[in-house]
Amino acid sequence: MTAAVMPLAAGELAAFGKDPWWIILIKAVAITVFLLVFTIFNVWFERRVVARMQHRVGPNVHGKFGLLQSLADGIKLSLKETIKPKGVDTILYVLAPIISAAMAFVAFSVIPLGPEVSIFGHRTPLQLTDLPVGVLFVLAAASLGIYGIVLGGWSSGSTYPLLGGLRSSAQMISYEVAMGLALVAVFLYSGSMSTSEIVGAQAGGSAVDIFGVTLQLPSWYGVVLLPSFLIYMIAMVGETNRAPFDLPEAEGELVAGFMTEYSSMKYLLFFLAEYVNMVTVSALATTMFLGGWRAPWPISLWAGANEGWWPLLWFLGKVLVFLFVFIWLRGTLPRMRYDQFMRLGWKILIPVALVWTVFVATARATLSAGYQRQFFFGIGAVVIVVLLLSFVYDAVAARREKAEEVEREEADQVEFDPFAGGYPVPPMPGQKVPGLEPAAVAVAAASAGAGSADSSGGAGAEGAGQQADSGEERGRG
Amino acid sequence: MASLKQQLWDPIAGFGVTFRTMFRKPVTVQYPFEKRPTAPRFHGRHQLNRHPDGLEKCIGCELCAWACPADAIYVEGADNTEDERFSPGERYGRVYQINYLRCIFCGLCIEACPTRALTMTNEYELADDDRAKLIYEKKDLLAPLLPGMEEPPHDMRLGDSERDYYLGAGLPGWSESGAAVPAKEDVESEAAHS
Amino acid sequence: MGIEEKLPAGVLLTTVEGVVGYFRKASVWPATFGLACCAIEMMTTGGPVYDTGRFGMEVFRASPRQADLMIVAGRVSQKMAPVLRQIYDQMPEPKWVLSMGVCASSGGMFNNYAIVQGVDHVVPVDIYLPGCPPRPEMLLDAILKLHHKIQTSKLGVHKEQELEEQELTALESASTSEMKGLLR
Repeated sequence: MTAAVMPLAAGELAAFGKDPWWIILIKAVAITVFLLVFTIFNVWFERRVVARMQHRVGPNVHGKFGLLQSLADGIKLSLKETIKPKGVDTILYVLAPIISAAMAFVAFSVIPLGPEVSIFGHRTPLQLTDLPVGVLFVLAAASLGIYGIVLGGWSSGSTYPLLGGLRSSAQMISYEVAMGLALVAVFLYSGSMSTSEIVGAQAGGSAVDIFGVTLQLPSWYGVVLLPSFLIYMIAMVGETNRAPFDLPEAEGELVAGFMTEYSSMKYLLFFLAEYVNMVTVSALATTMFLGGWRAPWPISLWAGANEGWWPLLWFLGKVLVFLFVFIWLRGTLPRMRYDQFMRLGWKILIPVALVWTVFVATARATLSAGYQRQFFFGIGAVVIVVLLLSFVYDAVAARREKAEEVEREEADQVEFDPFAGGYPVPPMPGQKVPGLEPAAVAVAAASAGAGSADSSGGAGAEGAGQQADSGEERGRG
Repeated sequence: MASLKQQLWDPIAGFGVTFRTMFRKPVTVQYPFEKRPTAPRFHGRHQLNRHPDGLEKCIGCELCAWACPADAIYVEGADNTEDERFSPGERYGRVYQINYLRCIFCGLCIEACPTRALTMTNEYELADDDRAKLIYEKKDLLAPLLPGMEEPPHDMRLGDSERDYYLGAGLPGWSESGAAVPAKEDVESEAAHS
Repeated sequence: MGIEEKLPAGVLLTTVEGVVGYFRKASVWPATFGLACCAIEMMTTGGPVYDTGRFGMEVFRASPRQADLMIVAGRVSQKMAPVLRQIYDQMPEPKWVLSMGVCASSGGMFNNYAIVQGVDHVVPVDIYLPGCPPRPEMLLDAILKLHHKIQTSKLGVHKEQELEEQELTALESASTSEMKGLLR
C-alpha cells in the first residue's frame, strides 16, 4: 500500500505500523483490559441510571455504591454449572459466544483513543492500528459478531433460540444498510475511510462572517451532517440489539432469544459481547460524528487540550454520553413490535439515508464546481417549506376526513333493538338507543328521580331506568 | 390522523419524563436498614395474651381452631387443678399450635376468641428454612412476661373467680367492690392492653 | 461448579467459600415464575418502593438457564407441578428455591385435590415464607435470610462432610410417627 496507490492515506497513516512488538502488545492488552473494566462499570452504570429513571435507587448494598455488583454477576456466572442441552450442535454451540465476544473486541482495534503520545520514550498514536478502510473494518467486525448470535441460535437445537437468531440476522441486514449509508456522508466530507483521518478532518471548522462577527462553524460531522448522525444513532441501537430494538432476546415472546439455552460462562460471553459492542458503536459514533478524541468546544480553547494523554479523557466522556443515551432509550421506550421495527428500518431510515446521501454528494460536487454556499441554504429552505406545507395539508385533510367519517357514521347508524331475541341487551358501540341521545342519557339518569324519563322509545333502557329510580325511591322512603 | 403535536412531540416527551425522574428523590425504603412501621392493625404473627398477674387468658375452647378457614390452628385444652393453674377459669389450652405455612392471617381466629386471649402483633419477619420450625408452639406464641407477671402455674392472685379476671381484675380503674358493674372504659382499656 | 469444588479442606477452602458465597449472594437472579396472587407482591418487591435491585436482584431472567433462584409465587396445581419441576431441572447449579406464600409452602387454605400440598413435594425448598400473600417486606426478609444461607454455604469437601452429617442426624432422629411432643 504505497503512497501512489492511496494518496489520502499517506499523511496520517504514516504513523502506523512502525511500533515495536512490545508496544503493540501493551496497546492490545490495555484495550482488552479497558473494555473489560469498562463493561463492568457500564453494567453498574446502566443499572443505577435505569433505577433512578424508575424512581428506585438500584444496586447499593454490595460494595460502595453497589460497585461490586457487576463484578459479582461476572464471578457468579463463571462459577455456575455449564449445561449442554442434548440437541445442540456442540462445535458451533461452543464457538458462537466466542465469535460474538471476540469480534466485539476486534472492532475496537481501529478506534483512535488519542493523539501521539510517548510510551516508554517511544512516540506512538493512541490507537492499536489503522487501515485506509478502518471504518469498513469496524462494520465488518460488527457483522461477523452477528454470526455468533445466528449460529448460537441455530446450534441450540431449539425453537426460541432459532427464532431469536433469525430475527437478529434480519435486524442486522436491515440496519446495517442504513448505518452504512449514514456513514457515506462522513466519507464524502472527510475524504477518507480511516478513523484517525476522519478525526483529523473534524479538527477545525471554517469561519463565517456575519455582520462583522466572526463565527466559528462547528467542525463536528454530528452537527454538519445532522441527519446522518441521527440515522446512525438509530441504526446503532438496532445493530447492538439494545432496547427498544432488542427483539432477538425479547423475553415476552422468545424467552431469552438466542441466549435461551446458554448458561454460565457462555452466557457471560454473550453478555460481554453485547456491552462491548455498545462501547464499540459508541466509540465509532464519537469518532465519526463528535470529533473523536478532540476536546469539545469550551475546553478546546485551551491550547494543550489536544495533546498528551488528556484526549483520552475527552474521548471517554463522549463515549459515556452515548452510553447514557443507550440507557436512556432503554429506560424510556418499550420494545417495538417486529413489523414496526422492520417498517422503521426499510421504509423510513433507508430511504431517508439514500436521499440524504444523494443530497450530500450533489452538494459536494456543486460546491467544488464553484457554487456558493447560500445556494444550498436556499434549497434547504425550499425543502423545509415544502415539508411544512405537506404537514399542514395532512392535518387539514385529516380533519376533513374525520368530519366526513362522523357524518358517515351518523348516516349508517344501525337501528338498535333493545329486546333482540326477547332478552334485554345493552347497545353495542356505535349503536344508539332510539330516542335516547348519547348526551341525554346522563340527563335522563340525573332527572330519573322525578320519574319524567321523557325518552319515548328504548323500552329496555327506559325500563332499566325506571327500575333503578323506583329502587332509589324505595331507598329514600 | 393524529395532530402535529401527537406525531412529533409526544414520542419525545417520554424522554423528558425519565430524565426528570432521575433527579427526583427515589421513593425506595431501604428495608432491612430502615423499616417502615406497618399499619397499626396489620395482621402479623399471633400472640397469646396474659392477665396482669401472668396467668394465661386462653381457656382452650378451640373456637379459634374452628373458625380457621385454613385449618392452621390446633388446640388441645386441659383442666386446671388447684396445684397447677395456668388460667383463671376451669380449662386452659395445654397444646396450642399455629402452622404458619397454612395460616393466611385472615384474623377470623381473633374474632372468634371469647377472652381476647389471641391477638395479632405487627411482626412479619417469619421466613424460615424448615417446615417444622414454622409450626409455632404455645411457648413461641405466648406474650412475654411484663413486670408484675409471674410464669404460671400459680394461684389466682387478682380475684376470687374467673369472672373477676374477665371483668378486668388488676387493671387500672378496677375495684373489687365495683366489679359487678365495671366502668365502660375499663373493658376498653383492657382490650387496648391486650 | 469447577475448580473451586476440588480444593482440599482447610484455610484456603474456607476463604474461597467466603468469597464465592459473597459473590453468589450479591448476584441472585430470580427466574420469572409467578403463579398467582403472590406474584403481584413479588412484582411489587421489584418495584420502586421495595426495590430488590438494591441487592442486585432486579434481573428477572426469563430463561431458567440463567436464573439462580426460583421464587414459587402462588399455588401450584397438580398440572403445574411437572412444569415447575422442569423449570427447576433446567436451572444450572447452584440453584435455590424460595417458596413464597402459604399456598406454595403447604397448600395453604386450598387443602384439596387440585393443589400440590407444598411445593417441597416437587422440588427441594431452601426457604419458606408464610403469608397470604406475604407483604413485600416479608419477601425481602426471606431473600435476606436466603442470602445468609448462601453466604454460609459450603463447597467441595466441606459440603460433602456437611451432607454426611445431615444424613447421619436424619437417620438417628425419631421418625415423624414417633414424634409426640405435647400431643397425647
